[in-house]
Amino acid sequence: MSVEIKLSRSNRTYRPNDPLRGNIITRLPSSISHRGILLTLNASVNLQVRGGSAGFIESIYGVLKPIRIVKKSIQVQPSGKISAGTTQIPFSIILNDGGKDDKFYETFHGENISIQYLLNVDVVRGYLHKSLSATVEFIVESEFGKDLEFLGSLVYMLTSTFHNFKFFSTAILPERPISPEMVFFYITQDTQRHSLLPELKSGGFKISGRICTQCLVSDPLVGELTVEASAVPVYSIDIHLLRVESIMVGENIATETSIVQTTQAPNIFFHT
Amino acid sequence: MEFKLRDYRAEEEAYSLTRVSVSSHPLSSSSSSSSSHTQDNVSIEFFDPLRALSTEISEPVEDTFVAEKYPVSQPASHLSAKEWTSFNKLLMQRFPVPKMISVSASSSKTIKGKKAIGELPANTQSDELNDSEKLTEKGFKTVSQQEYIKRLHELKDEIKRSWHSGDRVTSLKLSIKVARLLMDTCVAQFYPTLFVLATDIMDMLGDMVWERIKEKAEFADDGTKVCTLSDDFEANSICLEAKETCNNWFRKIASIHELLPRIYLELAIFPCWRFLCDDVTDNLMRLVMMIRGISDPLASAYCRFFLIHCAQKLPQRDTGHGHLINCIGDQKIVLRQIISTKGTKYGNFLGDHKLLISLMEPTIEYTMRCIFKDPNKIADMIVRLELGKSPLELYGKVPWISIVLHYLLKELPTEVVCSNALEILRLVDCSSDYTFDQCLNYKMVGLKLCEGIDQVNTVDAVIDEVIQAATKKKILDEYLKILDAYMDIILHYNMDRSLSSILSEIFERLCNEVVTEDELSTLQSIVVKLITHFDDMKYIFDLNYFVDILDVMHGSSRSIVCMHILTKATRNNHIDDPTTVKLLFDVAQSLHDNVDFSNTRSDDNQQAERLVARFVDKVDHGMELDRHLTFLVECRGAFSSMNDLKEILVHSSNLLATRALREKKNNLNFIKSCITFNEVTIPCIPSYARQLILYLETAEVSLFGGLISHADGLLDSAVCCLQNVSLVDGLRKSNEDADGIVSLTRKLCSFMLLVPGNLEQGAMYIPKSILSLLDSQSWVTPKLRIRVSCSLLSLSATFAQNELPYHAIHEEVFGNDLLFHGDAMYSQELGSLSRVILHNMVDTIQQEPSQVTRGKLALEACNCIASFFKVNHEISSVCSKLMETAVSCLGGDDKYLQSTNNFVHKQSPLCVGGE
Repeated sequence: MSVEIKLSRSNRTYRPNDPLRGNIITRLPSSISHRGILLTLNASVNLQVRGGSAGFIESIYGVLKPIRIVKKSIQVQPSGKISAGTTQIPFSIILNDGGKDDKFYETFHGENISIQYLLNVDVVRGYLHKSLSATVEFIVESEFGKDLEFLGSLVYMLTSTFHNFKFFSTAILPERPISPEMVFFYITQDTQRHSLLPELKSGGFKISGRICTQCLVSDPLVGELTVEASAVPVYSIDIHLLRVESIMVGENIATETSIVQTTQAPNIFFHT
Repeated sequence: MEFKLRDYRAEEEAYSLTRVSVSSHPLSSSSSSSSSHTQDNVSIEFFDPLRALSTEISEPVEDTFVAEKYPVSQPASHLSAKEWTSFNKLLMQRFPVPKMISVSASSSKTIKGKKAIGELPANTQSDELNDSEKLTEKGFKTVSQQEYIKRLHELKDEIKRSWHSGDRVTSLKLSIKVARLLMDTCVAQFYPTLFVLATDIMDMLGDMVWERIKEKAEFADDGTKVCTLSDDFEANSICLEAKETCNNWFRKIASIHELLPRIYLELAIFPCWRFLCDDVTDNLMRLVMMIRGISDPLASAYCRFFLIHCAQKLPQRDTGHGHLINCIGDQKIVLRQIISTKGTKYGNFLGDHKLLISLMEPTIEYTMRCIFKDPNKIADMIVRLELGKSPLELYGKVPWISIVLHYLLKELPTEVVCSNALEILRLVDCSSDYTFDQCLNYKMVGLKLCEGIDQVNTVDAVIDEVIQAATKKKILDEYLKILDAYMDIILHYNMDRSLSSILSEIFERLCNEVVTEDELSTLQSIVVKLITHFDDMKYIFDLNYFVDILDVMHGSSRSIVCMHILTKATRNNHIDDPTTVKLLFDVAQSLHDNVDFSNTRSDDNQQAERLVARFVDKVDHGMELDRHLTFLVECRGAFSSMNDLKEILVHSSNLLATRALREKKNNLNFIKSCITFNEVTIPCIPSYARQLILYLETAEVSLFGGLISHADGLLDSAVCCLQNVSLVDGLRKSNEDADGIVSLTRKLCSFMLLVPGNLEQGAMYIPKSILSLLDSQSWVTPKLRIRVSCSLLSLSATFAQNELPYHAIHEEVFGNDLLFHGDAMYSQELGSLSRVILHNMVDTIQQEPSQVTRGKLALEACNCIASFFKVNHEISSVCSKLMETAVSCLGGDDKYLQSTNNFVHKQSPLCVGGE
């Protein structure tokens, strides 16, 4: 005795203007009567604290309550009967039906913040019977082409691993990018806020490059970098993609970063 | 016992076939149609083994099998796949792998670690960092080559196994491990082999992923087939599910931390991009850019190599050639860097740039080959490679990396090279670095020009340029190598001035330095080209410095040149110019002196000997027979080690004698000297069997000239030879040798009929000595004895006739029929001789150990006896005795036995026992 939602798309990804289609599938040993089949769409923004790390967000919010952004409910079938065996009940919901309160942010699963869309089905069976229900998450993605996702808000940080000594450097972004997509950056010993090897400090180094700041999540992120000078041999260069999550607290913005992916850009063996 | 009398003339008339004159030659081709026609009509009268075979030729099974293996649907990609496989094979052969391979610590973990299957460390990054620390601390480890290769095969099997058991994540993880091995270039010599093995695994993974996604696209969840993808499907015909899986693969691969494995794996499944988008060029170009990040020159070169390979799996319309052009451009930058950091440590190649370049070389070769693969795009490629504005307008003065240039020249179409010869030469001139020998690039241009020799426009200017460039080269070897390549052009266009200046320059340089083996072999090539170009050796000998250059050469090169000269010279019908003969004689002599005949007879030696023999054979002094004999005497002296040649000399001198005989009457002395020459020459030949043949031939000639005493002497020597034949030659006494001796004895017997009986020694001296030889020599087998006896019997029977079947043509030589006609002593001698032979035969037959042979010999003897003797009681008893032997050995059903029995019965009305 089970119910299940099968969405039309296997990747469960929909845009706000797409109809959300699928089937409600019931598998029953004997036929049952019900008081209606309900589909509920829930979307919420959650703030969560992971594994006891005391971050900004936690320090600001004592209690973390999910913020509901969308709630919708439709009756797929009025009360009736479902016969035994496997039954498929198709449905279709238009997400963005012009309701002024609904805001379709993109689905986001971050370190501290998540935006989640859930679709819930309930087969209501009156008092004595427990209603049958199932939940499935679907992903909302903003429109391609029309509305490029601006990733500029994520700050790319370049991390160079010099030999077996590790240091971070935040790229210095010029105030205005020259092209809307490409920004130039450079890293030298002077841009570093943390301690460096003495020979590196005195000998200096310079790395310059450019990187694309606007890009579709599905597309490769492109950029170039040139090691113009380095006092010590470079063993390899890694690129870290960081996730930046910020919230407004009054006038201030609280920000926390976490590593999404570490990638070796050039793979250097030789000694220059 | 009495001999049968025979009338040879009547017999000839009775037995010779009737002759019919025909209008056409039976073997000429024109009659073939009619003959095939008759073949159909006439029922097969005789069994033609060749014809019978041709009808039964089995189907070419193998061909159809091969055709099935490669379906016609994708000929182009199959072709490139085949090319790739063969190229990889070459790659592995070219760099033989050392037994022990030093590998970096991280690779050795993959190679040695067995536990690793399926469990990748959770924190990959820190693990990597630890590894890199180890690398700097501990340096390298060594692994045996077998172990390494075995482990790779194991990994491949594991990947396959886990894929088929549904554990595709493990497959991917293991593949990443394999790709990671390619990061380690300190294996140096082993890297190409490693690459071949690793990319084989990558290809396998790529194919498996492709098939899986294709299956997803073609089949619904429940296994029903939804559609069939054509070879040139479009991305929008792919269902979302398949796309999702495909995307998933790419994302998994994109999150591999290290650059090199990430590139390799994306390349492995690169064709799958087609499921996602129709134009994959951008992705390909992105990968080309990513490869720039690999700073190890070797790793990056091979990575580009793999990229080109993977791009070939895509339909051609999808890829264009941009990636090829960019790859070669990037490669050039890397090479330029290597060149400029001369002498310093570069990557894992501690100053050994030559090794590094040689390891990179195949990848450059392959790239160039791909660039110029499509004949329609050559013009486009030339422009994009920045070689020139169009194939007809090249820029000459832009330097290239010489190794890249080399493979460019190799792939450049002949027409382009020919129409831009000067510009290309300038290009070669300004591209000189140590990655590739510049003179080999000159050579390559030369070879290309020779290919399209008639299309070269500015020949004079080209050759001037080349000679100038060559003259600048201080090293003789380089000078020669360059010129060697252009020799054909110089000769083709009859540029005599250039040729003579080159020859004089070569000679001058040869005189000034010690010539090495390499230089000699190049020189050899030049000289051989000269020899093959000109038809007349006389003209070549007249070339300035040619003979001088020849004199400087030595060793095997000289022998080869000598052989070419002799081959060329003996192609003409006869050589009569005295100077040419003299020079060729010197050439032949130097060939003779260079060849080590004491060595086991190699093919070279035999060829040299054949050539000298041909030369001697072709020399013609016209009517000056004396001079020719002198020449033969000189040859005997000069070519003393060539035994076969001595035979030729004997034949020549016999021919000379015969010619002399035909031409004039009064030159007996000359003929005598020819015979004497032979008498001296023949004993030098080691083989007695050959001596025997030559003695007989010379005896024939001397009898022809009426020199009976010489003939007698020669026959004596021949018999002596027969005696010795087995002593020396017969160390291996095979059947053929025995057969050879039989036939030689038969020849001797038939020749004996011509020779007048010697009164001093007795007319039957020679047959008697042969008979005694049969008895005295231990090596004579019963079989041999019977056969020789048969021929002796036949000889005696013929001598007994009133008129011999043939006579010597010299009018002063009389046959035995005339000399001994009616001589009672003579007939008696013949009779007693034949009696002895007869008894001998009957006795000998019983000594033959093999039963079958014994039976056959008995029949042979019986036939012989029955045909030569009048059948009386004595003879028939002998015959019946022989028949009994035969029956006991062969049984009564034997066909030969039956026909012999019939024959014997026919000969005598008397009863002959036997059954």
